[in-house]
Amino acid sequence: MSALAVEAITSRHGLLTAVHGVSLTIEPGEVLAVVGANGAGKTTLFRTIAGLHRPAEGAVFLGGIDITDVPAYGRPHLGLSMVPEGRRLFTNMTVRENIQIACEQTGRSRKTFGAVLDALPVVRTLLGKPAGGLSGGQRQAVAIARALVTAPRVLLLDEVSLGLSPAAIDTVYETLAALKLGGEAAMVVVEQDLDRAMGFCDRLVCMLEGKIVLEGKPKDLTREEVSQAYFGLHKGSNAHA
Amino acid sequence: MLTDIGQRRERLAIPGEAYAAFAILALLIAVPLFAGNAAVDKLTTLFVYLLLAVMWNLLAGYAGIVSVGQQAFFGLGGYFAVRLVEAGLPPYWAFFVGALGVAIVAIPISAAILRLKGGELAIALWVLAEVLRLAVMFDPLVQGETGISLLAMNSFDPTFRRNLNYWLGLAAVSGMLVAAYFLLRSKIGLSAKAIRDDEEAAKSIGIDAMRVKQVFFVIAAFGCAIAGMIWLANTITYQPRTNFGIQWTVFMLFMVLVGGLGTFAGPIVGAVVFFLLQEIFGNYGAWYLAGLGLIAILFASMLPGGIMGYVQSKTGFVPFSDGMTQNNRKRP
Amino acid sequence: MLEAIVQGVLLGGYYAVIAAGLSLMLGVVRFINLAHGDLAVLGAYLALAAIAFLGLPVWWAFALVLPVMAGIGWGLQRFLFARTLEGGFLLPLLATFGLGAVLQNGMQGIFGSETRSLANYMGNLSWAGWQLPFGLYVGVLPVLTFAAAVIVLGGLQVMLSFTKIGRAMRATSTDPEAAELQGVDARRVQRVATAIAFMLAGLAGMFLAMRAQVTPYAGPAQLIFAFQAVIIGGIGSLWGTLIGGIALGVAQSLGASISAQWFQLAGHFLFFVVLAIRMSSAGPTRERVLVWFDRIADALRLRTRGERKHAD
Repeated sequence: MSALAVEAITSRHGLLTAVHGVSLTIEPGEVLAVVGANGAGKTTLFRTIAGLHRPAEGAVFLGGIDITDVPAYGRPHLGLSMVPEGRRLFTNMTVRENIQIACEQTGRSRKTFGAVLDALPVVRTLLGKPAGGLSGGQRQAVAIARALVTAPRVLLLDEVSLGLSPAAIDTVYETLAALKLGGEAAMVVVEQDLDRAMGFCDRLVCMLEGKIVLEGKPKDLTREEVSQAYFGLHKGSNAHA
Repeated sequence: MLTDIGQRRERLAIPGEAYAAFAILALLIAVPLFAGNAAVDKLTTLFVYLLLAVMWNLLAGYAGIVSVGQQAFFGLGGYFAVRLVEAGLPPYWAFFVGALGVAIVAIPISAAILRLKGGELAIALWVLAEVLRLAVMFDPLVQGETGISLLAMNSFDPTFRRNLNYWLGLAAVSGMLVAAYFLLRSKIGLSAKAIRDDEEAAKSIGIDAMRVKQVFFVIAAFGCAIAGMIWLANTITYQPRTNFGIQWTVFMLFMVLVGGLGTFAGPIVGAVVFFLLQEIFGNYGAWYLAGLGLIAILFASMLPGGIMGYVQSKTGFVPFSDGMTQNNRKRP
Repeated sequence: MLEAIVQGVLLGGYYAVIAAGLSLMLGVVRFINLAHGDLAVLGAYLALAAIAFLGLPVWWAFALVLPVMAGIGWGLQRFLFARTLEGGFLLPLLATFGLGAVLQNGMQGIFGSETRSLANYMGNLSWAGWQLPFGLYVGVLPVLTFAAAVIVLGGLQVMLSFTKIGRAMRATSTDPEAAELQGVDARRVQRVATAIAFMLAGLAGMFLAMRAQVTPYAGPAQLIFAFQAVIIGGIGSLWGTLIGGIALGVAQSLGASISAQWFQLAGHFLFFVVLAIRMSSAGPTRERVLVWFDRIADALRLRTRGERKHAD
């Protein structure tokens, strides 16, 4: 059974259709990268999966269960967690409280909390600090810890490296790679950097104007193909639509 | 937003609505010639309501300023008039000069207070109205709570005075409606709509949001002062607690919310509805006012576009359209 | 003078209670409830009604009003405020302003316009007091009110810092959407916050009616005072509401020693002065205040320059 399945999702902002009949399936343990230019509909797709945006059409399944009508706050309980664009930490709270909220709201144990800190040692050193005073890389690490503490079966990471220094991006990806080796949890990442995305994922989809225009394993795709799809120059770009 | 401007209907030819408006205006001008005193008095009151509603709609519906202190200018206008008459100015001149004075006073006030937003702005204006009321009560002429009668008005023949008040009210309402109509179609009006839709975006394309809001604020202050003058001319007595009363803002809010916030015809419809309710249920006192509050709540939660918002979305008919309102009413 | 200051400080306790509810809603539900003062008066009238019509003992009546107010808050948030909040910042203001009109005039219709007070039911509490040195006289009731304010604020502080719902409230107040992503039902949290705010309004209203006369139209003035306390103390600061309430109370109390009109005017002026300072570019941001404290500390030679902690 797939970890996450998106069936023919269409999402609108008023009259603007941001996501147009997108279908996707992610297997347990798989890492999927979503690439695409600004405005391609990646973030709206993520927000729809996380429940922050109601789809006009289509359905979302988590582990085979239809969660389309589950409100956003109910989804972390079921094992779907998202690190939103811009991290969105609670800046007036400490790092510990940021993580604690996610932990206690979803009813996870202190053991999970401890395990997450073991996986992300840098976060342990930050626990007492106010989240508002962290650097970009530290914020991303805390945001990932906050998502992991809900013990997700599917982890969505929007704009993983946006706004981070190259060194911080390396650290974040090392962390994510360690998680990838760790188990069953599937990961979906939005990444602007094509090389980074292709090097990290098991499978890659490229979005353009709300549709998926290219899909495949990195070893089957060339950098050229992905780049053309990204800018809408791909020959087969209409084949999927 | 930009496409809306592109689609803006050009209406240089005089449309049917304008002919209807001229016909109504002509009829209203003639009313004192055949109607009784009571009817003329009541219609004058309606004009006060109309003025207040149109002004409050300019503020809240177009400039995004929720004022619960608009009674400040209503009451201040009356006070200026009382003072000017005391200084020897003929009453009707005093009304006009006083209203201009209020507009001038409103300029520095707007510069300071419009830096606030939303509910903070609302309450700060309310406090301002309270400060003005308390300050006015220090004037020995006003005699604290007691107030003062504008005895100079007794020098006029009662019928002449009544009719003059009526025509002045009518002139003020039509004048302000025409002014509002052109204001909303001017560059400033377009800027205001851009700010209402997205203030940050509007600023980024070089719109001076503060200046635009100030224009609306000062015009609304002037209009409310005029309304206060007509009220004073009609009742002759000036009492700080009445003229600076929060009920004026309650009425404005009711009329605009029921008629249709941010629509041109909305406050007119709202004022007429309010006037009729006042005529029919006004004798029920507190329960009538509680009912008004309840209706306002129902409109805010069920029909935030008001009567005109509903009519416009159902029929597509937008009286005195500014060419953009309709699109903007239905936000996702 | 000293007398006026002491009375003003104690009055600040009342303002802190009524302001805390307003501030909580402003922070968590993110709008200013323009009916907050009227709700306080409603609390007082509910207590009066419970005593007069239900024949309840005074303290039982007070105990009953609090959950009733909480229930009203929960219901209104669920069925009215949440709806209007979806329509932008205007509608909640309009709806609560309308609610104020309903409450004022509804209470007028039911209870009539004569002034009422809970003092009659309180035995000697409303006038009992202590004679202190320097000719000071301190009433028991103002001291009780002030103590209640400290307890209420302390309770809120504990709740916000150390409980699950408190953390959820702080998260919701910072970023409702991010809170939902952590499993927080933001709408439920907002209902809880509104319920607490209404309860605090009711409590404040009962204190008001114990120390003074109330009428159905007393609410708007209480709203203004509450809001002034919030602004003077700094939006979003819990103990700031107490400081703001005390500053307001002292200003009013000193003003009242000039004339009755100056009671209100002095508070209004303080409010505008604080607003002006806050809005001006030289306003006290947190950093600036800390730097000022450092300068003062330096000037007083309380510590050497090397020990500066906050200045950057």
